[in-house]
Amino acid sequence: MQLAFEVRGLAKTYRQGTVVVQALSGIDLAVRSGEFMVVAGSSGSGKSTLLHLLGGLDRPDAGNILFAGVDLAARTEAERTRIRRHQLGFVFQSFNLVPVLSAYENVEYGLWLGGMAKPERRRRVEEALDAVGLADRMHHRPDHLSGGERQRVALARALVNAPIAVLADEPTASLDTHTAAGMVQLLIELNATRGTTFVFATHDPTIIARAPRVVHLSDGRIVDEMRRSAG
Amino acid sequence: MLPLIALRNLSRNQRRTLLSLLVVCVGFIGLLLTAGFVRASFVGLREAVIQGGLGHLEVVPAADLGAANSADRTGRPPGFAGWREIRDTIEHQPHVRAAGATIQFAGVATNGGSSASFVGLAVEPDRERRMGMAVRLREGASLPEAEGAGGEDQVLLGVGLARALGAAPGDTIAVMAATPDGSLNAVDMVVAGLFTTGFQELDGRILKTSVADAQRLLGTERVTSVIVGLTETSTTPQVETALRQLLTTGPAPLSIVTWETRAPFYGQVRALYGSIFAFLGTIVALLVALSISNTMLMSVLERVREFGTLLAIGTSRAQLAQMLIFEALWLAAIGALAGSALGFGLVTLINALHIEMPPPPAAVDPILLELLVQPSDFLWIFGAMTIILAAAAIPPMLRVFRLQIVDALGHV
Repeated sequence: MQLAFEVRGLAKTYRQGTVVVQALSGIDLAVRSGEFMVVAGSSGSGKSTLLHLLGGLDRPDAGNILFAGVDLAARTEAERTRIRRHQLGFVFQSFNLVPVLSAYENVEYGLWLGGMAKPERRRRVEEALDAVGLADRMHHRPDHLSGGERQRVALARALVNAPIAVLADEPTASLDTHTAAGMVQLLIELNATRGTTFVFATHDPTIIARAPRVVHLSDGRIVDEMRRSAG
Repeated sequence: MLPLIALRNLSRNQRRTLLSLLVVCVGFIGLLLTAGFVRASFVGLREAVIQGGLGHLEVVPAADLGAANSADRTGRPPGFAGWREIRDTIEHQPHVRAAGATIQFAGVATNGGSSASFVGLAVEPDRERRMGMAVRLREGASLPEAEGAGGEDQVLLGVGLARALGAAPGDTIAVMAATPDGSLNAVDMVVAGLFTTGFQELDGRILKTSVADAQRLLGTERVTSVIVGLTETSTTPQVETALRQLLTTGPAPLSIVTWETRAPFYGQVRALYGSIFAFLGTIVALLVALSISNTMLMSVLERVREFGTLLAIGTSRAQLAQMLIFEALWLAAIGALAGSALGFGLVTLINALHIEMPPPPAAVDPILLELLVQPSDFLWIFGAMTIILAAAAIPPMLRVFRLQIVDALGHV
């Protein structure tokens, strides 16, 4: 069994003024390659912090995070930047698209960062946008797209580089119920067809209800874990 | 892709971008006009000095070189023998428009009841005219061009000297000067006209006559020096070298003195103007840099979450810094383009209006506001603007370098 993420004894504290907040404590977790896992918990439970650490966006105070066998905490910022560029995809709650770029250019940007040739970039971007059902909206800028369309562009951006894992922080929180359900369905399908590992942070019960694996966080600790068999 | 994003970023807040472009444009125009004014002043002063009587080069006996400054030679007897052949030889050199002898002397002029000391300058009027040294007559006529024309010795008086003597064109005055052997000689001369040198102080002392008349007064066949006028000032070093090879050897070696050596104040004025220009340029650069830096910093603060996202998906901090540099460079390029067009139009308009400015201190005539702009000015000002704006991008870049990705992603 190949592991996308292997986390041991993870801890992270933040300082808010004079108050020290224990965001994560004693987290042990293993995520298999191709797994679809939801990190559930209320606001402030540490979901986003866990995703930030898994994505190499921040360093833990204690513990190890092995991503595809690489200890992220031991890597330099430049190395973590390269890992994020080539092996990880991110989807954010507020879509976080570059407003001055079209849907096509937003998706293309990551490939350009990786130094890919233009014809190959074009092929991959068109394929990614087609996969999320936005082939006919690729030249629109984010402000001309609906919330659901923007999030699908963000998803295409996360997937276009064929990453090992996609980390999504509350990706449906800014969407209406119907759009959110469609988004989740799309993610599940992409997970099934591409074998990309998905790690979701959410407190949306409809997503939690459909996820094959749910890890519950509370006050920075894993308090419950649940697995559903496929189908 | 970064230049494209940078260009599009400028369109986000169009009013702010327009203001930034205006700052760059006005800065560009300010530097262009100042550079044009300073250059026109330098060229104007240079040509005024040369055509005011110094010529481009002066050929003088080497023995008199120690007294190269004109003022030091007025009391010395003319020492340049055989000058006609030398003058004719010089006139056959390339780039030489004409060459003419001069005598510098001093004496006393009297018009019956009034007497005044004077500084005398004798010239060959026809050659002086050919060298482009126009006499600025205020009254009367110029000196006759042919030697002995008119049948009597004639002088031009500086307007101030004429006032002191109570002399007018047509009057006869007695001019006295010491001959080389130390005796005093006097001749009657008719005042042909009154002129100005452009400088009040000199106008009160100067007397001008022909070389032939001065030689009769001083009882000598010699002259002080031969002044050389060239077709172009830029050929001065070339002709100087040629004349040096031709004239500085032999039994009576001659020295070649350039107009710059004879007019040290030109260098002083140039240094002064250069300092003023550098000072103004620094202020303009600071204003532009601070203004653009502040605008860019505001723009960065509005995009903190976007920068966080770009960092999260694999953009390096150096690439973000490049993007900011590109934004600055676009501002520089567009602003400079607009500044070039508007600046060129403004320069053309100002030159066409023939605006007169008050006379400088000690000068007589108002001066024309002229701007002399060269293509290279546009290039170096564009280069300067590019550097200034790149420098202005440094504070926003530092802000980006300090961003924590997680904090930036949560920025509202």
